[in-house]
Amino acid sequence: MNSAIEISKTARIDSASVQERIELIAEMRSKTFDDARPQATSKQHGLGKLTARERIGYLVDEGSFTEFGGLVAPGQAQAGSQNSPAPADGLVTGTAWVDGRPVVVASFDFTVMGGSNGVINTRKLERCRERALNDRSPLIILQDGGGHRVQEGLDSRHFASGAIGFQQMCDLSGLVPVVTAILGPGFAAPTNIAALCDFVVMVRGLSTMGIAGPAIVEAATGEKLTKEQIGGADVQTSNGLADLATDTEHEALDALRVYLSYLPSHAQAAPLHMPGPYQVAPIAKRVNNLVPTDSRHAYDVRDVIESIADLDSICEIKPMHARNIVTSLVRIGGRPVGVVANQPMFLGGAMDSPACEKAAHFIALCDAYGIALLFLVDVPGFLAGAGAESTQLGRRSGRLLYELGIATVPRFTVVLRKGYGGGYFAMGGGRSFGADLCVAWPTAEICAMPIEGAIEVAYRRDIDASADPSARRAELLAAFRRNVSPLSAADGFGIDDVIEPAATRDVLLSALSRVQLRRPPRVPGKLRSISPI
Amino acid sequence: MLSKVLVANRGEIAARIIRTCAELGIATVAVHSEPDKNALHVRLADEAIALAGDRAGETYLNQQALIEACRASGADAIHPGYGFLAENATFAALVEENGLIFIGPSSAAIGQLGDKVRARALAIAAGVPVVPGSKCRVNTMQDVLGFGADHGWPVAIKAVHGGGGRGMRVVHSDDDVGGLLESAKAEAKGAFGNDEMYLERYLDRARHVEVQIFADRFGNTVWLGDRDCSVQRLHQKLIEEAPAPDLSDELRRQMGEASVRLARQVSYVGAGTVEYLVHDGEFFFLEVNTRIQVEHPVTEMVLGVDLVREQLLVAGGAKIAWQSGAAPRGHAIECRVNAEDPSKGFHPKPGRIELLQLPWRPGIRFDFGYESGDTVPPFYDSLVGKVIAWGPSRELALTRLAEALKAMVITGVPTTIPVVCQALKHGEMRAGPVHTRWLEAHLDDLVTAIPMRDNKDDKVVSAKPKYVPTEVWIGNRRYLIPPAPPRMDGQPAGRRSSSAAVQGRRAELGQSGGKVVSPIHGVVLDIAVHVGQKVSEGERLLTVEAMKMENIVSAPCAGVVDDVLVAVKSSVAADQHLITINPSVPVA
Repeated sequence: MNSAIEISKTARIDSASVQERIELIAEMRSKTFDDARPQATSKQHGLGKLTARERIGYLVDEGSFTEFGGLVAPGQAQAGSQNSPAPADGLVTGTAWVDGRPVVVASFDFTVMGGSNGVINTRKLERCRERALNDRSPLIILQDGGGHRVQEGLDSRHFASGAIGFQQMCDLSGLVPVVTAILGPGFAAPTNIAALCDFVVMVRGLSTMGIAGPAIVEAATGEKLTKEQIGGADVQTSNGLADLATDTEHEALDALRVYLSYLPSHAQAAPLHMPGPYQVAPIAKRVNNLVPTDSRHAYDVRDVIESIADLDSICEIKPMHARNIVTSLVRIGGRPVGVVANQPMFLGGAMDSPACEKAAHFIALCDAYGIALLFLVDVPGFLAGAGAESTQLGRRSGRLLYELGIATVPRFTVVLRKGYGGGYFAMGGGRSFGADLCVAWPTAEICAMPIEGAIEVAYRRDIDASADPSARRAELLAAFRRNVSPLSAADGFGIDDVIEPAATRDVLLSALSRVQLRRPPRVPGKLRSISPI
Repeated sequence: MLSKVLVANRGEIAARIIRTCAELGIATVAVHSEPDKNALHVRLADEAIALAGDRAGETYLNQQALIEACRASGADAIHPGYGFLAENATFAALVEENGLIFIGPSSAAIGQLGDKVRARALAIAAGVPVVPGSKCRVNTMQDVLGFGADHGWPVAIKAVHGGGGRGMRVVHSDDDVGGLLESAKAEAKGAFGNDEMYLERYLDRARHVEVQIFADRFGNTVWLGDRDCSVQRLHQKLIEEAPAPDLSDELRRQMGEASVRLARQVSYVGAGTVEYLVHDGEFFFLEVNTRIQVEHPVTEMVLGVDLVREQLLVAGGAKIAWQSGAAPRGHAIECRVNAEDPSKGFHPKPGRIELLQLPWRPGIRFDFGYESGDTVPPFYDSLVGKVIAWGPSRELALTRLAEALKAMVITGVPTTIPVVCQALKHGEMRAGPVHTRWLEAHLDDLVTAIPMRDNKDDKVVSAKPKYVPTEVWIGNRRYLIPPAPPRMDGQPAGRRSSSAAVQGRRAELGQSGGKVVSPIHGVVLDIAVHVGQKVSEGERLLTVEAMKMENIVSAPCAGVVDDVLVAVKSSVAADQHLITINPSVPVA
């Protein structure tokens, strides 16, 4: 083994009584604590960051952290290289309770060789995932730096084995919530880990993420960019790589708690129920007038969500990415619900590839953890154009339909205004995906495509052939307009009812109370479906 | 003997007076505002006259309308109760001028005792000890600083025409003076229409002890025991008891006799209360309340007297049959039941009382102004009623009150009962008298100790630290994390101290970003800012008055006032958007 510390440790143990051994072990353990490492601690604080242990201390319930692997030493350095002393091998791991529920937590220590992934701490992280799998506990990974530890990694003998970490991440996916906070440099390995997490938080001015940092980018493409420009918190939350950016580390850690609070500890458990009494936001008083009848007028669909959900229960996921669709975890009557809502403030609510992917991922998340889905529909359709095509919108929108099709959780659809074309289906409209409740507001207009455009396409010859084309166009328009109304949607029983917006919350509460938490598989015996992407 | 009495009041005291009139065979006339048209006092009275409007100013304080109501109904006397016009000398004079009987002292007596500075001079003249204080009025901060230097801190700034703690400020040191005189003046002006102020030495950890006096028109003036009302929040009494515990007989006698001397100075007639601070075995005159007190039942319980009945008899020309210094029998404790939410800073919560069940039992008396299904309107004070317990000993009276409160059911509005229950359980309260700052000093602990109730079946589910959501703030948003089930290893679930961010954000509750909303349903009393004005975080923006309480609405963040959406005197609903602050504009 390396270094003189090991030798002296062994030597002292050999000649000691049991009591002396107990004290010696306590002493060895205390050497890994922040107090015993004032230089490293103040250096980390100097970077404006909490230490790995302070982060755990803030995140978990007081006194609930039980460390494992605290006494490890680093793996063997390869020839020609030497390892520095590495308390806990740069990764603090253990079990803990967060807001009263058990979790497994791993916190990278940037002060130990830049938070790099060495042989031993890799095994510690594997142990964390194993615990999460077997305990059915959420896994929380706090990342700060990382990447292969050069001192140990330039060696085929150990590197050829690869690592089972990604396999384990796939095993955990959909079984237990896996979340990460990027609390420092996060290019490369931390980003790869984050990609397989359900929820990723970054801190503005502190965190970076991406496949490659500035040095590699410059070497590869010649672009001179700062790490913030490539992968800062606002950049990567806008790209959708991370879910949320916060201003402080504390808020990032709190965000993990908030996110987990909507989910059960594992896929077979029930989520925590918020005890009443329940209030709604003051805006609920205006809900009847939130959606303008004139479909050219935009509004903020988040106001509609506020007016339906319990007060202070809304956690928007990816608020800065694909803003034409809003995905929020909320509670209604204390029960978690996943809301997917078209946002007319951006792209008129039209669905492009990022919006489809964002919604699809969110549906998968809710489906995995038994969270009922609520679709608030005001969609003019999928985005048209060569630009949209270049993003494989056909397949991306297919992925959204696919996720809805394989989901087994209850789903409710409220058509606020536009329900046009395939977008209407992709938002669970009508009977498309067996909505447990499909209602429309008095402002609803549900149709295969916008009438003005449809007339131009389908009745072009008719219009051109008439004596007065513009009169003919107006006549056709008026005729079809009469067909597009919430009442005619109800008339054909495409929806269950037309309801007053103010009644929506009560209608949903009632529906939530009656539905089964899961549907049986539609095609028993099938091993898996194949995603269009 | 009076034949018909108009009761110029509402709520429990109006009901109390009307019932006692009925016992004496006196006909009663209730007056009522629009929201009170189906109130208990209206249901109890023989006749009822509507006063147009909802606010007190248009109705129960409308002097002309009340005189006209007397004329229309043929009432020969007016009982003003407490509050409203009970201590208004102008009104008493108006009643007298109209040949009607004002059930209370003469307008002259009210005038002399109602002016705090004159009352103090009268007290000195009658040989009643007073708190060291200024004999003259105060106008500038310099006066306050000089007074503090001469007599020592803390110093109380009080409204000459005030009462009940309104228009009063306590200045703890010369660093502390800024703005307090101005705000006290503003409050006094708003509440009493007069902003004259005076100063006095503020006695720390003193007890509030008061003496009940009673006088007839034949020069008989007596004192009828004392009461301790030290359990107060913001100078509003919450728990009162009689006799005041742990006073020597000598001190009681001295206070009683001093009170009678003072009453005789103004030829007092009727029921009155002389309030004192008791500090280290000394007593200091505070003020005289020239009316029946809210807490009069505790005196009645230990002396067997009916003070309202005596008021009516004396007003009708009878002599009083009572002697000074009557010995109390046993001990009585009263608590007020206010429609306020102790968990939300005692904000008044008007609303419909769905169910009110009063557990009648030996030694318990209920004086309530409402019954099940009645609505507590937002326009007046939040007192729903009073629970009074009598016992042969103080200990048993305390226990009886606590048990009665436990058995009481009141749903639809939150009340102060839970915090009273916690106070009654407190060792210091049980051990003996507390001082006037005691409740405020222990309030957070008492409120925290209140068990949470499940609103569905009203069953106690658990104590607060365990089963309430945890609050988290990220940016400008508030989130709640549900409570977790108990841990198998017996460790407390979800134990964590709230972060600094949460503590800070709590103060801004209900105000997100630059949007400032009303914390409560009420009336805008004043607006301290205008559009375009720069404000700093925490700066006072406006005041919303609700149920006699002023709610200061302050800036949630620094910025510039973008919009003021309400005007002074306008009614606002809870959560109504009042002011918009643009936080993006830098404030120099």
